[in-house]
Amino acid sequence: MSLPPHRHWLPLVVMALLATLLAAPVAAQTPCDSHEGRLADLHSRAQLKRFVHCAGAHVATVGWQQAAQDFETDLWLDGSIYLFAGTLQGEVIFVSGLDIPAGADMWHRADSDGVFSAREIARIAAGFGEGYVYYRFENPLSGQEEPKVAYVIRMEHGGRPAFIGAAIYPQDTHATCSPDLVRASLVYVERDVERFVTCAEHHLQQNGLRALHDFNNGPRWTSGPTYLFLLDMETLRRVAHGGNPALVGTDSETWIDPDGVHVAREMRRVLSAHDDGYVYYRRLNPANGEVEPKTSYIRRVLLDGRAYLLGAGLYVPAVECRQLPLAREIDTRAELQQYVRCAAQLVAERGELAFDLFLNHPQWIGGSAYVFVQDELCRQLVYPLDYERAVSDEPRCDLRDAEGTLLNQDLLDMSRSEAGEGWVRYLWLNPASDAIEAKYSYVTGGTLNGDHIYIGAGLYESQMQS
Amino acid sequence: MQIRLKGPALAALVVLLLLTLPAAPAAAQTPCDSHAGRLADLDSREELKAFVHCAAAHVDAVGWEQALQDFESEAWLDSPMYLFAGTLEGISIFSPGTDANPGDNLWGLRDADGVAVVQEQARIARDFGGGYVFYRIENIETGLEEHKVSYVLQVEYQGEPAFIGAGMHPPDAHGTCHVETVRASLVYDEHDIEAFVNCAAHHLQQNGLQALHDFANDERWLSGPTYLFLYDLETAFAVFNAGQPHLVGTIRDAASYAEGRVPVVPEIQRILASHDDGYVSYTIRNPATGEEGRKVSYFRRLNHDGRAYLIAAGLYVPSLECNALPLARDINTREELQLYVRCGVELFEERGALAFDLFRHHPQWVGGSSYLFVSGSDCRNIFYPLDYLYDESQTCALEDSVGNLVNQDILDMSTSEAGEGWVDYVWLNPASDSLETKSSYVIGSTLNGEHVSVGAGLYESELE
Repeated sequence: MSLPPHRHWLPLVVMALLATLLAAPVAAQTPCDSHEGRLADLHSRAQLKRFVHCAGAHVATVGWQQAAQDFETDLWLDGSIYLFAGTLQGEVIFVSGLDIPAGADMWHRADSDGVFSAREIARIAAGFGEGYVYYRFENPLSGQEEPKVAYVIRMEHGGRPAFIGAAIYPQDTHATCSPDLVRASLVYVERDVERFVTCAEHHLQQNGLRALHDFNNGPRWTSGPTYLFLLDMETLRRVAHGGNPALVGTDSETWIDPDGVHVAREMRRVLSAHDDGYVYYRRLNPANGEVEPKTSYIRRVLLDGRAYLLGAGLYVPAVECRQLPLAREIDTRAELQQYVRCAAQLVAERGELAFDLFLNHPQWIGGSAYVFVQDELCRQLVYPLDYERAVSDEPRCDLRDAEGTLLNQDLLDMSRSEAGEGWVRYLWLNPASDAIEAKYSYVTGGTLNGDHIYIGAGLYESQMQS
Repeated sequence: MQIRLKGPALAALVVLLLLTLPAAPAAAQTPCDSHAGRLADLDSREELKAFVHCAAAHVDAVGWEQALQDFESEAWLDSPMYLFAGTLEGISIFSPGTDANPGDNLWGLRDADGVAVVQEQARIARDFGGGYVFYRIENIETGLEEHKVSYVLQVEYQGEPAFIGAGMHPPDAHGTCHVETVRASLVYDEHDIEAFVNCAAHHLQQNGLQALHDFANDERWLSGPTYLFLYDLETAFAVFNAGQPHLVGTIRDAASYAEGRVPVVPEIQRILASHDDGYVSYTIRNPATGEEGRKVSYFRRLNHDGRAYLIAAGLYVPSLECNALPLARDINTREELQLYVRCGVELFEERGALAFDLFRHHPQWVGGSSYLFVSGSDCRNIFYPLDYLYDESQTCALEDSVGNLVNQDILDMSTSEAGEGWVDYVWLNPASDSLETKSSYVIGSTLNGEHVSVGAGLYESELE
């Protein structure tokens, strides 16, 4: 069918287009000021409450049907954060991102503690208008039933009383700290180090003095630059020191950095009023002999009435790596190049200990961006895609893409070229679209345990912004 | 001189106005998604950092000159939260809300602990790109020297490295809790109750068992409906309960609750088995009124000498319409003002004179040019938050500048058959410091058996 050639349609079409353009962002990008950064990182009750209020306002603006669609997009659904709604009789209106159909009856569903969450939600929404509800439910990230705190507010749906809600799964309470999520090798940003030290405090409270042994030895608590230290608040004597257990028993009071900062005294000063905080100092890195900036997160811990200072350091990346976007947001050549260079820097500093971050931290993996590390025989040392991991131990320098390009050999050659880094083009499966596409990878050479390796990452042509 | 505009000039003016309209809000309300609600309520390091990054982005977007103007507006300055900036040599670029003037050399500034505040800010911005700085400084809201945590970020100013920052005064850390900011009579919302219970936990850890006596007797810890309770977490043994002292010494297990009642303590035990703190919602007698009320209690786990306890305090939930009341400073319609006074009366009838602390200090009840007043049947001020006008000797003969018997009119309205209504008069607007027509809504109530008038007004210039 072709459009009739009536000229007077044109203004109408233009107006309709304009109306669509103007209307679209409202539906697609309702700006919730509930949280900053990734929705998946939303972690406080206050943020949760705002997010649910914002979702409720969105329903009031665009109606339930449109809202339920919008709530399936990643503005509203991210990681373990999703929206859900139901009637106060326990009938599901929607559960975003989970396989629970509209109309499902939740009234008789109890969690493993025997809590009937739908009834508790109905009681809070009906009697209090809104509030927090605590129960256990499957965390879509882990697939496990986990404790959660939900915020629900009363709404109306088709003339019937209903609610909308969302929830967080706390990861650093005394009972929810798990090495699956909180461990030394996964500490990269402030949020990570705060959770790490908080979980260490729980470990200490729950296990008593044997925790000191764990802090000094266990891989969960020590990984390269990330380790715990425990100082007596009054004497500043070191009680535990995962980075260098030989320091246990020594005095840290006279510890002065090259700029004259009395580091331990400064920690004690901050904790004399605050319950936790940060200190900034420089220290000599024995690995490269350079003075490097370091920041430590510290908490005040009471053990049998005596105050201690528990802390862990946060590695301070080079300036250009501090502003690196999250992996899933990388979409230009310049960003990709920086991403690979920063990854190579991390490998140079931590060696294999960096791999856990590449595989599991949102700074390094997300969307279709991931880091790969291969050795001189083109064997995969880090490769996060499951479907490729099966062949990870095989030498694969002869691997060809659909056009016959020897892509691994090209990558290896580029990493050994005089420049030591550069772009390589080949065809590859895009995990985001599940289709074979042209991929541009940036690759740079490095060494691991004395052997040459190459570190790279790529973007598919369809995603690349100019 | 009179200005007349005709034809093209008028059209040009209209176009200019239209151009100004969309531009103005962009400058005034730069949307920082760092926090929700009042900037002054921003209370986590994470939000603070996001706010400072947002301010730096604003400088990048509009330049320093425009940004410095914007940073004086409400979107960016909400006492005690303000932005500041300086060069890495300690020369102040701006610091609205403090005594420092642009160009002042603050390099030598030290706090009471000897911390070289600006040198630290410059060091952390210069060597670390950004970070948190801990020091003591006057809280511009309370006038007291208080502990502060600031976030500073390195930026460029006139081609030279500089820093921009903002800070907050944590009210409920172990060394920052004090009665001036955290006390039972000032507890009204979730933010308040969490700080209150956190400070009570610190008080117990710092003072040991003597704290139990304080919780029961010191008005810092007990005011009308706001009281603490403390249970052994394992056994549900009631160690302390200021609101229901008869329960002390009993075990509050599930069997001890009547049919249909929320078993509050077992419910808290269940939640604290996996969380460190939380909320529980239930219905219980309000000791301030003697009547059943809906209550939401905040509780947290407290370790004391190796044993775990739960410590908690609750909020009695206001009626639904009062729950949705805007903050005092955001009230600008007659409907909102009417609701504000009704909710003020609801609170007053629950707590009596104990409500005055909230009326005087809590942002829900005082802010902008909105405040509540309470006067007796002899027209004397019983409660009036403006110090310069407080006068116990006021009589019913008080006249405004145009001859209205202001106090008598208010009393008459509150004793009328309807018991409430609007009264107009001319009054000093504290926000503009000028005389304006004011419309007040007044409701009759009682205090200790005596008739009182409770009211609040809006100035004509502010009514929407």
